[in-house]
Amino acid sequence: MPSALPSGMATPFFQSGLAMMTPLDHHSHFAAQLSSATKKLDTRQDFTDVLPTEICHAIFSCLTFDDLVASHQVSRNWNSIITGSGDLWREAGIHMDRRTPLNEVALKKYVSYALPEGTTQPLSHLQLHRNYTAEIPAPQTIFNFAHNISSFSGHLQLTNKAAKQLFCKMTQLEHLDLVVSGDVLSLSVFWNSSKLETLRLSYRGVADDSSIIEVTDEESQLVPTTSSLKYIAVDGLYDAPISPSELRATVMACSSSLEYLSIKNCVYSSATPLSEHTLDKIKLPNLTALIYNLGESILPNIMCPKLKHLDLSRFEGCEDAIPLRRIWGFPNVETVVFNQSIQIADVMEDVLYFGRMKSLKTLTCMPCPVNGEEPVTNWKTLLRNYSPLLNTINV
Amino acid sequence: MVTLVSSDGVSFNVDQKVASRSALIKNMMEDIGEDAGEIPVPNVSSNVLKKVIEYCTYHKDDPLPQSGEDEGTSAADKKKSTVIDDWDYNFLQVDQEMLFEIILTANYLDIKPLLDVGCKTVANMIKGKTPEEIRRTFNIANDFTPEEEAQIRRENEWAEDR
Repeated sequence: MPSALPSGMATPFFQSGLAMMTPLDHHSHFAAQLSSATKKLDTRQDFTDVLPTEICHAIFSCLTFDDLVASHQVSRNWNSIITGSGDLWREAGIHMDRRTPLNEVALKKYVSYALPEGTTQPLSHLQLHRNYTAEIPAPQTIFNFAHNISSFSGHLQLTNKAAKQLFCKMTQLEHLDLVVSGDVLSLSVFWNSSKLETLRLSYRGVADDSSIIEVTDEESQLVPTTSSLKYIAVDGLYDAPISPSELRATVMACSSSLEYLSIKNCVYSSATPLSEHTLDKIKLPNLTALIYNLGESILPNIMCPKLKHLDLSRFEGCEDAIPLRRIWGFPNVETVVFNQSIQIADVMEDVLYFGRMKSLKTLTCMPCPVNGEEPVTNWKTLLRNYSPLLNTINV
Repeated sequence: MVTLVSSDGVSFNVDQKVASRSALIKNMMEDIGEDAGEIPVPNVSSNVLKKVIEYCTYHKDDPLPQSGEDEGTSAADKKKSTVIDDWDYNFLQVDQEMLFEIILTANYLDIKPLLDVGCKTVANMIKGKTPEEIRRTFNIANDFTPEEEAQIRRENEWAEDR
């Protein structure tokens, strides 16, 4: 009798001439058939057995560091493929950011996978903790391969001397994103690679036992005179030991390449504080974003014709609009963020000021710029008349 | 039109533009000329070839990838690009046997975008999983000795906090 069931499916025992079997036999027979059918339907298979090595490599190259860590524990074969390819680890980078405490044994192991002996290619990224509470001392392990890192981020608690020792080895470094605590005071510490494009520093307090150290002119001369730095962000958390001469030298060195400059919360930071003249009359032809907050009445007097984003928020203590009007040379700015309370008499002047910003599209003002005498809508209307592209005003 | 013949003898009449998605077939057509006639595709069964032709038909108007296009693509860009567009995602919702056959065929016929999206699909089956979950996904036996496993676990104990 032909079966109506598709091939591979179990044939009901009552149709198969097996009616004389005991119930246990029926069960075994049915189970065997079901198992056979299930095996046919189960197409799961280890792709490393069926795909060529270069395709397996292409698959693994899409994985992140965490996925590589999991994958190399799957089987001997996977372990052999993954640990045998330095490219995979070098391109994924080593990300120890969520590991507390730092497992130096693991770090050494992954570094040995990424940078086997004789490798000249650098590790794409090394990420240590960025967690504020998980400060770690400079791990000795990093010293051994510091010369082979293109990107480094983490939170290090370092002395100025140790930082110099570590970063002077990082001659391949392109991107540095660091939370630093300890007595690291000098910007020049981080400038040892001519390839450096990104310098992002967040200070988290100077060590209790270190006094503010004034950076000497000699040290500020350690900053290269030219560089290809495109991105500088320094967040001082109101305690940044940035020296005016070093900041100026740094910005001057990369004036032609700099696209992003953010100096925040660097207030009352060094023995000679940053001032409104720190960056006086520096021309930054490619700068597109400027975030600047050094404290009261401090504004950069710089020339940046391509500027599109200007953020002066957290601009403390300014109760008049005078500093704002000192900014000049921003004809292409599209977004402006600032906060200050402006007296109504100043509003009209501001309208004239912003009116020069013909490309202005978004204006965010915190808190509300009007002290209650003049309706906000009037202020908005005036602004729109002078800046025809302005379509968003957040107050 | 060009006729592709699968390993099991099934013929598929395909527009030249569709067939040209395969760099291998494109080169063959250029070498042979207009009268390409039948082009055998050995080692590719009809059910897989049919799927690959479906892919090439849908993507027939896409710009062809340039040689060496990947050079200069950073590792970070690659990671980001494991995102797969909706049509491709649905197209590759097949069993693993078929998926690996498609990848092998894409590799053989030199259809780079299909090979890439196939690899991404497999990579997405690994992402975010524990070693045991990966083993279950691909039906892999754990062949480490208990001692090796214990050592690996010790070396990676921080990773279990994920």
